[in-house]
Amino acid sequence: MTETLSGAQLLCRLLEEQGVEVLFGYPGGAIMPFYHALPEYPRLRHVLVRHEQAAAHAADGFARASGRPGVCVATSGPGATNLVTGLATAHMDSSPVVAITGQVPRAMIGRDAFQETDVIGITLPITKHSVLVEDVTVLAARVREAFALATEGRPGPVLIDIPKDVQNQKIEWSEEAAPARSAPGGPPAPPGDVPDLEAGLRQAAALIAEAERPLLLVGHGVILSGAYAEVRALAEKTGIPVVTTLLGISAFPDGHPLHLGMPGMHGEVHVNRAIQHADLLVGIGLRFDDRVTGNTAGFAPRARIVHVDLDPAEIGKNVEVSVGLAGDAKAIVARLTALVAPRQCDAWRAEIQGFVRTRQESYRGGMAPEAILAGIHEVTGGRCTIVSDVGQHQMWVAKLYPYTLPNSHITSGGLGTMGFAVPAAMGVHFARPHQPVWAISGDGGFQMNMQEIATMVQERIPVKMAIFNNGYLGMVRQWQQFFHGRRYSATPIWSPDYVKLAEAYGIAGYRVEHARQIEEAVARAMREPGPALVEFLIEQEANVFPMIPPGGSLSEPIESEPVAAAPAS
Amino acid sequence: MASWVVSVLLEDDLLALNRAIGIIRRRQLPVESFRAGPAAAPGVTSLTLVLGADRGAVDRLAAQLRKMVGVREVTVGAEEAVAVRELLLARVAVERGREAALLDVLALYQAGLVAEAAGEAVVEATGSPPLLTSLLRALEPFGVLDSARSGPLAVTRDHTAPTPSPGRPDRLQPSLAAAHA
Repeated sequence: MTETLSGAQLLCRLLEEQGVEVLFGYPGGAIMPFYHALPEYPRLRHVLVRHEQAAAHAADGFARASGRPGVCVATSGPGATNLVTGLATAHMDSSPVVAITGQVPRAMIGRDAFQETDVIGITLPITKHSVLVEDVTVLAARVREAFALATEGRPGPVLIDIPKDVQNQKIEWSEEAAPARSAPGGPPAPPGDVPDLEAGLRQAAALIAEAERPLLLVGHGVILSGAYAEVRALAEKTGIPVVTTLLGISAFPDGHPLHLGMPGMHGEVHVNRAIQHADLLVGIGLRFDDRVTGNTAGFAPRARIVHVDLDPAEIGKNVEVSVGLAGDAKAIVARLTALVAPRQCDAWRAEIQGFVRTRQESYRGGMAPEAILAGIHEVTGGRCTIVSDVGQHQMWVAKLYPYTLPNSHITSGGLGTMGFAVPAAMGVHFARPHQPVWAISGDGGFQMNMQEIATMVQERIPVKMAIFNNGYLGMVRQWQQFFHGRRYSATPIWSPDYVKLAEAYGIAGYRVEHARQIEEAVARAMREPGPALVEFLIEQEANVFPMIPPGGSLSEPIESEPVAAAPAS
Repeated sequence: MASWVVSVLLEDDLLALNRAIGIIRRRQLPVESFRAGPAAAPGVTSLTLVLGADRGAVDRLAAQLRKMVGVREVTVGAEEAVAVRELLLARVAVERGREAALLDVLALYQAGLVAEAAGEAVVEATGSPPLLTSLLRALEPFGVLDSARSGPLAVTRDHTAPTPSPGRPDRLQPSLAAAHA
């Protein structure tokens, strides 16, 4: 049986077919046929954001928390360009987002029509793929391909640009006739380009057997692959200590005796020293980003590297590897674990223990980030998802909160997008509706997307917001303090009265000025059925320690304030 | 620095071409030459790039191209492992009395005439890119009014096979044909 559908109706059908439950979007001229059809499909919950950037971040947050594609919708022109930062964020962190944009009618394309922009051209380098739907007859194939591409292999964002007249085109549609999706992309790589995986696994197992100072480096790929148990089994069978990158945090439980912490620019001293002393690094699902390696010339000078990554283009991209294993972390780590002989690394672990420094206090009094995060952990029983923004608080949240649940830490790593936390947390809520979600931001990042409080109120999204307010763009200020002679250029930042702001939006808001108030404020926020905001007034010039200077070697961390900073020249 | 020939087969549409070029551009590799045209298979475009970069950088580029949607195949070859040829068309001024001299140059380069008119001729030649550069120089005394080059086409070859024999430096004597005669 066939029925006549508009392109917009067919799009809604296809979204239902793909299992989409929630869309984050904003209507406008070129996407109006879609919004006209949407109420006919009540299974598609639409969340009206206040800015399209938030729609993309929310879709990204949903995708990261659920492992399923997050969907955002915008109109042509400014709607589409507002998605760009969110798509780039998702692209850098391999998050499966499907963005749907309206486009001006086909006859108007290329005439600089009202709200026309070449969104395909704009998004080419920041999406996994982007397509224009040139006719309603190819809409189904394009949408199915987009969802498949977003999730298959290394996930990433895909954009579908649909001209307004294609949304209005009629098509005779028959569910039965829906063709099976053809495999997207090209054929598999020719055999000559695929290294012999079995031989590589044996080499890796041999390297693990003979290493005296091995480390596991665990990244986002372990979370994307859900390889938690496999990585833990490998670590426990071999006794190899585990390092988790910023996006690998919560891939391996904090508090596990083998867990060392985070490496890199703000990594713990003992973690970076362990890397510098290691004779073998087994990297799983990370790209050896410069924030992890510092200057690659001085990175892990004694170590051979085994690199497991789903994306063959990552292997050997940033660091030279001895063994590259291209494939899904879950499968590869399981096979590697089966091949390795049980062993222990007691002497090496004792050596690393000797590297441990007492944590450099990041504050001189007043309210410590440690205490705030401990308060949130205590009150929520650790059963919440923490979504952080970008800056100093991001590093504190990464290092000081004890993550025990898999994938309970979500942040913008690769792009480092300020303003991410609040909208991404909205998406996380829809993936985990029964779990508390805390969006933790600085006063800078919060002000970038605080308009989304209105979305939370209108759509009843009970995200709890924490603001670490120090009156500065703190991380930039810290760089200015260390490397620019304390010239605090454009880093002092004024904030509104956040308690009154909360009141204006009709939500609960609390200001915490003393450490003893932390738990009570967090508890009161948790008791609110809807969104709530807690502002923490933290030390103005608190710093994140240790710190590897940009481009520096992991061997040379800054562990305290420079005594006499050179005057800026 | 050595030159590397990267051959890419990709879907025949401008979006795929645009995306591939974007991947190449972003990496800031020195592109010595570049060509796009139809491949043997229908619906497929072939790109040929000559890159003056180190092998590692070229391989990393190839890996990025391989994972692009719409790319069918990427091969990287050392210049000596690839047969590279280019087409040249040149419009040359021919003063009265210089016809024979021009024909001598064309014979030397095994070039041909496409069109003739009073006072000018259109010349065609195929060959290795340096040979065509050399031909253009040889034509300069006549006056080159216009010229166009296709950019290099490439196919991999067995480079253990005999190298071109004397005469024209980039072309074999037809020994295969002779052997079968």
